[in-house]
Amino acid sequence: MSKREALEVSDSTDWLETPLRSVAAVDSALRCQVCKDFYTTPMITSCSHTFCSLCIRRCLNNDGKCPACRTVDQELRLRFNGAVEELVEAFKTARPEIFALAKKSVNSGVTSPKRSREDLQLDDDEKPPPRKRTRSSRITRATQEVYVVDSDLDDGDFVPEEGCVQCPICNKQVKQETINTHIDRGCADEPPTRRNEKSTFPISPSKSLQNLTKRPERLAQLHYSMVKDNALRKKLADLGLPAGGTRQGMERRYTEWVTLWNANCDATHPKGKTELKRELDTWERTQGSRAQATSSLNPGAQIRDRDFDKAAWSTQHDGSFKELIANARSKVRAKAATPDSPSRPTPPLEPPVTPIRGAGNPLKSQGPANVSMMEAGGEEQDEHHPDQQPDAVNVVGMTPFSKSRFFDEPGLSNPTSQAPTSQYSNSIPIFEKEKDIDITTITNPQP
Amino acid sequence: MSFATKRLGKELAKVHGNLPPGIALVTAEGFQEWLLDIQVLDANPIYMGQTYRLKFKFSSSYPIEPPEVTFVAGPDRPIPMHPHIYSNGIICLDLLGTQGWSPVQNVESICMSLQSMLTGNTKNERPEGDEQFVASNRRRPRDIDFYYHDNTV
Ligand SMILES: [Zn+2]
Ligand SMILES: [Zn+2]
Ligand SMILES: [Zn+2]
Repeated sequence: MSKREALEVSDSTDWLETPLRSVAAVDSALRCQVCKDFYTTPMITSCSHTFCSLCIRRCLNNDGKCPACRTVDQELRLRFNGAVEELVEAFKTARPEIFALAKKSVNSGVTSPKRSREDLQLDDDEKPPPRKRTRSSRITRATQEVYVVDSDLDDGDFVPEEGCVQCPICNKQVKQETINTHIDRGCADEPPTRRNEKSTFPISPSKSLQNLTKRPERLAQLHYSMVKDNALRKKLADLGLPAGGTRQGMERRYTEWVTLWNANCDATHPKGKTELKRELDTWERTQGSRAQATSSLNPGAQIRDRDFDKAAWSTQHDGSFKELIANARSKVRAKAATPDSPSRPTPPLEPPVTPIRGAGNPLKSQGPANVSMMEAGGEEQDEHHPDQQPDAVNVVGMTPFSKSRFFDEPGLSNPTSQAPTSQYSNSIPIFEKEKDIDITTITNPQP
Repeated sequence: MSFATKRLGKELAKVHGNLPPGIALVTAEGFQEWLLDIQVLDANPIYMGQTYRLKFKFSSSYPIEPPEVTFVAGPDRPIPMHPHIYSNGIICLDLLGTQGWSPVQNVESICMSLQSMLTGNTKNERPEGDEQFVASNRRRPRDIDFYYHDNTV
């Protein structure tokens, strides 16, 4: 992983140190609440909440509920949120410029980002704000100025997570922020290649090369109870994935692959299969069988095993962790130097404090049940989202569809169609599990 | 870089600069375990003048899975009295269980929830069966299924 990625800690609250404090709300609104980063391939749920494709797919895989409002939802109902992606990309591009300008005005004691041409040309932060303004070329000058100041900024946020992405057309590694330009120019900044047929992934339909190939198709999660060990091994091998390990390890690997794959299918610029396999490999090291982790049925075991993840976490991240702390401290200092900055972010930036439900006694007879669940391994997947409601319930009021972008899913591209034919939707009880019925919600105690 | 590490890095940066009153980061010596101190800010006599220490343990599946959060005792860090907090520091709060957890929660919001759970409490007592539970429990907090039935607090 690149160093830049490790240091990527910027946050919507960065704006609170600048005169442009209201931009914090914009910045915050463009971030996924699960990963706290700018949306990557934003998908909207049936309940109209938006998350990164990978984030929401992982969440739904885990408990079948929207992270924001806890409404049950299904991966099949997710729809790409193109407008949000455009907003994010535009803001990510504009952010360093705006931020630099805002910071600069703080440093020079100016409370507004308006600077004159003369002042900018002098590039002297200590110079008092100018009296007269030459409007005409201000914006251009400011933009140029930004690139000068840029390297001084303690702000890596506009550097995308992966740094580079594989161009779906020429397969070259291209800086993510320039990939669109790169494609728009017909891969002109590289020697143009015509190796489309070799490309693992077909290209983006948003460009003129739209018709060359079909988009990759999404994979279905498996009904693991119906798949014997050998069949599962074969499915993994057919996908070109490692087919070893325990039964549970294989199931988790397959599930993760489907999640990575489907999230990649959502992306405007899908990565190549090689890149996806690298991501699966990283996952395997940090969370999969090689990390000796276990499924979410037994989350405690991940920590119970003190060897868990040690190699991956300590060796890879201790260094970057120290830098993160140093980075965070320098931000604190920067804040302290700005007397009028608030000690806290403004309310919209904060996640809501969940109403507290208290609890009574531990359930004494739980031990044996847990054990059998753990040994059974894949049971969670069998009853995939146990408390999901049938589609008839969800459809009311909200018909989640948008233009199917790359390929149509049978039964979903047409809003008037019947329930999805997914395995998720069959034999799902209408009401929540009996266990939940006993639970009385206790509202947050008020002082 | 794993999902959990990335997300915790972001939280850490924020936690260093912007924590609500009564919540302070003590140590975060890695992405696996953090310590935070919390105080009850209003004049609740049960908690007045006290500081309580929270231990967060994160798995590599955070924030898909909840962190494990317990109060830990120290020289001047008692375990707060509360009908949902056992004397060994285990907290019975559905937000921290698999059912009640949501990935949009974070370290700060958990601390604020616990603060508010203490602020609103008027009972200077431990959960029913505390002694027996503390003496016999060998399970980790998340492996314990609590009945969330007590609506008196
Ligand atoms: Zn996300
Ligand atoms: Zn929702
Ligand atoms: Zn290209």
